[in-house]
Amino acid sequence: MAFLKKTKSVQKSKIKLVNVKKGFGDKKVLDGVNLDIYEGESVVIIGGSGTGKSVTLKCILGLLNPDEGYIEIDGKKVNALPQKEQEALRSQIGMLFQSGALFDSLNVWENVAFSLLQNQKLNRDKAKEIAIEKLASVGLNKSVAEVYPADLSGGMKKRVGLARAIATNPAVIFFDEPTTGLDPIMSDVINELIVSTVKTLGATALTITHDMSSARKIADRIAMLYEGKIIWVGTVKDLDKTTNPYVRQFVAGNANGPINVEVKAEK
Amino acid sequence: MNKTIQFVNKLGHVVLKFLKSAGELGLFAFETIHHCVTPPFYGKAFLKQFIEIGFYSLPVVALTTLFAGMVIALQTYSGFSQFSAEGAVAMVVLVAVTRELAPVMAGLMVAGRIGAAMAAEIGTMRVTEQIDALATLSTNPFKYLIVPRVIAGILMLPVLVLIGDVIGICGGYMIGISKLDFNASTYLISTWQYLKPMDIISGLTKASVFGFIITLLGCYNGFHSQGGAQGVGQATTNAVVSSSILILIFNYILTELFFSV
Ligand SMILES: Nc1ncnc2c1ncn2[C@@H]1O[C@H](COP(=O)(O)OP(=O)(O)OP(=O)(O)O)[C@@H](O)[C@H]1O
Ligand SMILES: [Mg+2]
Repeated sequence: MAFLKKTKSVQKSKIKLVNVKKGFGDKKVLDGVNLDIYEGESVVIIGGSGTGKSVTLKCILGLLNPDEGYIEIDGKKVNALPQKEQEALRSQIGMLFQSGALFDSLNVWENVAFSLLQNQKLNRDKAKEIAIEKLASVGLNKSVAEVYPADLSGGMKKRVGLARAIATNPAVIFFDEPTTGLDPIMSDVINELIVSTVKTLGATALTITHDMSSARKIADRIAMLYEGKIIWVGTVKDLDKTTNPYVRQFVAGNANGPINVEVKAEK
Repeated sequence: MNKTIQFVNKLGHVVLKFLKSAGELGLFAFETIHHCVTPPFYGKAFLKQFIEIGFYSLPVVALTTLFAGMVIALQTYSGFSQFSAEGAVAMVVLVAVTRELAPVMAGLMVAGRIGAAMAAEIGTMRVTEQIDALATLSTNPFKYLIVPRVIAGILMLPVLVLIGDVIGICGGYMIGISKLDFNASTYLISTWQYLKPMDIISGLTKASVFGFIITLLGCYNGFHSQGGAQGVGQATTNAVVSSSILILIFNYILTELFFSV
């Protein structure tokens, strides 16, 4: 493990964010994010609600354009690429949306097998077989395959979204809060799934989570986003030793500290 | 004084906003057309839209054109009989239905039925991030969602209008022989006599243009909707209202183009 970590530091970066800024109207959300994610590692982003974690992911995917700065995947600037190449780049990325974002006109297995059917042109029987396999790996059994997303519970939707994200064995996977809304046991199943996808497929993973036990389990490195910047990056070991007051407060889940949560209406 | 400035300010905003959305719509149309002619195409999505627009709109189009044909027979008879020109009823029904009534009625009905549904469906997909999800599954949302709808609109509206033509003329015929005491064969013969290909062709061309307008605006409003259920509702309203207005405007323009001498 220690050996792995060492080789990683000399590995080339898979995803690189350089001074990424993004705002909506007057509101600044990202204010100069810098982050390197190396090939084959699992990075977790933590940070308060509404600090722009999901926005960061969408910028990397090219769904949102940064106002300033740039993002590179495999050394190519995402936002400058022509549409065709951007699509090609995305085909090696899997994404679990925070809200699931399942297609409600398709049933569960068709959702999971979407890319297999539309892009890889697999026949339906084969695609369904793979979909059911992927569903099993997120703890869902065959009986939900024909159900429509509207009839699923929140946690089940999340897991179907997860199965869809990993269905094509992508080289890069983004998980936006994979364990929120799941019971503790299921959370652990998902954590293990993420760890094993990264290990067995050699995938690069970027996960957003509030769940510190999950973060400890899946992260090679943890980055903390605060006020539009990455204010701290380190391994899980570093996390327990750090003296950074923001990180300590967040990890301890303390309402008092340098991170001020406004609970009174402004005058 | 202050009030005037405020007013001018508001007016300026409205004009700018209008120009901005007109420009956006133009770009959207351009991008749609571009994707219409470049593969890949999603066959199943096409089929679904053909059935949705062409088949399921049949009842409303049939009913509206039927009654339109009936009422035009009644009205022309009551007007023309004052000049002893009852013989022209068959021709007036024919011309009115094929040139104007069938395309406009079908256009407005389909705008209400299909345009609204498209805006609502695509709008919901937008606000629930399904369109983003499509993109991450390396499927171009234009190709998967918009192109099939627009093509189906352009191709199916003429079919609907052709059927509407027949039904509308039948409606006129029914009233002609049952209420207005025309001789069935004379009515049919004079209808046949006055049948000109240009009347039909102009109507079908209009239908195609209306099909494009309806589907484009339905998709555009849905695609750009924001802010949850309320935003989707707004998008739906905009889609129906704007496409209905544009249908009437383009109906006039196309009539000028076809028939002005
Ligand atoms: N499309 C958008 N238009 C306007 N504002 C947006 C948009 N997307 C996000 N925001 C704003 O950006 C900020 C960051 O949002 P984001 O979804 O990234 O938060 P987050 O860190 O993922 O929070 P959470 O942990 O609650 O999911 C929020 O204040 C949000 O209101
Ligand atoms: Mg989020």
